[in-house]
Parts: sequence; structure tokens; C-alpha cells
Amino acid sequence: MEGIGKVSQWVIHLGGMQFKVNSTTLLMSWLIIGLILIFIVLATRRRKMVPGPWQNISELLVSWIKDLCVDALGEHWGRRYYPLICALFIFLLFCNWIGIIPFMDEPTKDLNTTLGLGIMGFFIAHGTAIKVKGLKNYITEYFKPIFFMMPLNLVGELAKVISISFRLFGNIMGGSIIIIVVSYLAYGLILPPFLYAFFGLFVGTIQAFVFTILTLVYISVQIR
Amino acid sequence: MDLTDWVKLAAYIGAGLSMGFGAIGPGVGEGYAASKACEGMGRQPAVADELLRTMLVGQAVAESTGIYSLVVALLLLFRDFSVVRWIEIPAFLAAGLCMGFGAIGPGVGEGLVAGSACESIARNPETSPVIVRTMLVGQAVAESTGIYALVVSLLMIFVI
Amino acid sequence: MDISGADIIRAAALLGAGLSMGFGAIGPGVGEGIAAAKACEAIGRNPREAGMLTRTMLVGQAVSESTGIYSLVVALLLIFVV
Repeated sequence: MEGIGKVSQWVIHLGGMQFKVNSTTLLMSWLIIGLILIFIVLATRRRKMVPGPWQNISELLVSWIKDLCVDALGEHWGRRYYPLICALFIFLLFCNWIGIIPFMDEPTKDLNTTLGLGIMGFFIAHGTAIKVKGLKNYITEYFKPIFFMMPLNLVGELAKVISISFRLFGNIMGGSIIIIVVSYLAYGLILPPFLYAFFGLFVGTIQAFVFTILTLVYISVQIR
Repeated sequence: MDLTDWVKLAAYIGAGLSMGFGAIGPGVGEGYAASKACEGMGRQPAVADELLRTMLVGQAVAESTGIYSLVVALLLLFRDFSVVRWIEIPAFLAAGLCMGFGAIGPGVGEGLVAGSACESIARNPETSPVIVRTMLVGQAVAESTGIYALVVSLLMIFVI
Repeated sequence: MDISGADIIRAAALLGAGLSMGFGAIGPGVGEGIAAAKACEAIGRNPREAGMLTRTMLVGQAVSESTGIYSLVVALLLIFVV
């Protein structure tokens, strides 16, 4: 039961300041980036008219996400943003799935990962809004419908970041806590493999999709 | 009773409140989704597989606030009580109350979404991809207040 | 176990924060769920308007979530400020 809420950290001393680095999260993130690179190399090597299995999977994924983006953002912005959305989805998918391999931890179990991705989406959405509408129109949006709604609109925008990142973190963290507790109670006999399949594959896929599509929707609400 | 006993009492009552009230919403909501799926299958048996899939996905998402309640209850139950402070008594009670009641609304609401999605797929099966997408987005947004409740509960347990 | 008046006020603030976010989450949760449910029904009836319906749904949900955000703000104020 000691596994609950434990993080392994490296402490780096740099000129009188202390930097704490979550070592597991960092290592797993780099490992996942490596895995994705291998996947991409397998998919793009020896491209043919009649695709092999790897090329087939990746083409399916990319064209599906491209359709989603063009649907939500229109032709111009959709084509522009689909590499980003596609990368986000594949990264989250690998992050949530890696927990089913023994001794591997999901980077999304760490709030820093999800909050970082959420803040990235926030800045992309608002940057695009300023680019599309111009700074003046963008600022006047906050004073609608009446003047004193401004602080509430601001809190609403910040709450989007909190809810999108805590949703992913809560689901993955909750799943891992339940697996730890059930393995402790059942001595790891029967239930955990099914629980791993449910929380890792099923919930992981749905939450990766929801995170990606909400980032897309936040961008599309801003440029509308 | 010394301080440790009081803190344990508060933590156990909090765990009960969290899971007890937290089970109401997802239970009602998922039941509603299942009832709509059954109605749809009765009307259109040809799309039964599609309806079953949509129902299960919708229910799994509607259950996540119930899972948050379970997580808060487990965190309270398996806490290390070797070092206790007085302020943890109200904090644990409040954590249980917050996550317990906070799970009711999102649970019911997400169940309504899943039910309506099943109904629409039974009426118009070829639109199912766009309906499932809208269902997932709508459920995700309806869940955000449940997530705020989880954040407040975790603050009560770990930060106070 | 010495309990002063300030401790009791702090305890009441924490309990109040839990109650605020707990009950405050009920209404927006149900309401946003109803909005999304009706959007799904409408898309089933008229799939060509899916984009507009999704946008309207999200805007409506954002408005109905504002009370939930007020609950969150009050809960955080009670935890960290009072």
C-alpha cells in the first residue's frame, strides 16, 4: 500500500536554488517519445500504394484526425493544426497504454504532464484567437454580455485548463490507485488483469480522445 | 478517545459519505442509459450491437465521478494515522461530503447524455459516429464540476 | 487538545468549502447533461447541423457551468483565504 501517492524525485542544486525533477515521469515520457519514433519509422519506411500493416494503421489514424480537424476548424485552420492534434492524440494514447506493461508508469499519472499539456492548449487557443480576431476584438470579447462579467469570463477560461488537465489526471491516477488497493486486498490473484485492461486500454483510450477533442474544440470556439 | 481516534472517526465517516452519496448519481444515470438502450433495441433490433457498444462507452464515462468517489474513500480509509493534527477532523469530513455530493450531478447528467445518444442512434443509425463524438464531448464538459469537487477533496486530504 | 475560537472558525470554513463544492456540483452536472442529451437527440434528427449544434451545446454548457465555477471559487476562498 506504500505505492499510493509516492513520487520519485531527483533534487538538483543549482546556484543556491533547488530544482525537483520527477524522474519516473521524465524517463517514461522520453521512452514514449522513443516508442512513437519507432512506430513512425516502421510506418513510413517502404511506403507503397498497397500499404503494409504499419502504414495502414498510421494512415487510418492520421486521416481520421485530419477529418475531425477540418470538420471543427474549417479547411484553412484545420489543415494547419492537424499535425499538432495528431501528435497530441498519439502521445496521450501511448502514455495511457504504457501502464499495462508491468513496472511501467503512465506519465499522465503525474499532474505536471497533464497540466503542461492543458496550458499548452490554452496558449495555442488564445494565440490563434488573437491572430484571427485581432487584439482589440479579442479583448472586447471578455466584456460581453455586460461589463462586470469580465472577471467571471476570465475565471471561466482558466477553469477550462483546470478541468481538462484534472480530468485526464484524475481518471488515470484513480485507476492506478484502485489497481494498487485491489491487488493488496486480493493478493494480485484474479482481478488485476481485467482491471488493467479496463483502466489502461479502455479508459485510457477514451480519455486520450476526450483530451484531444476538447483541445480542438477550445481552439474552434476561440476562432469562431 | 484521543486525537488519533477522533481523526480516524472523521476519516471513516468521510469515506462512507463520499462513496455512499457518490454512488447515487452514476447509478441513476447509468440505469437511465441502459433503459434507453433497451427501448431502442426493442424498436430497432437490427442495430442492437451498435446500441450495446454506445451504451457501454457512455456508461463507462458516466461512471468516472463514481470512480473519483471511490478513490477519495480509499485515500481516507488507507491513510497513515501515525501523525495526526486536529484540523484533519473537519477536513476529512468535508472531503467526503464534497466528493460524495459532487458526484451526484455529473453522474445523473452524463447518464442522460448516454441515454439520449442511444435513443438517437436507434432512430438514425447511420449518424452514430458523430453522435458518439458529441456524446463524449458533452459528457466530458458535464463532468467538469465533478472534477472541481475532486480537486477540492484532494486539497482537503493532502494540502490542509 | 487545545481548541481556540480561531480553530473552530477554520474548521467551519473547511466544512463550508466541502459543502459549497459538493452541493454546487449537482446542478451544473445535471443541467449540462441535459443540454448534451438534447444536442445528441437533435443531431440524430438532423445530422447536417452537427457542427452548429455542437457549438451551441458548448456555449450553453459554458454558461450553465458558471454556477459550478462560483462554487469552486468560494471553496478555494474558504480553504486558502479565510
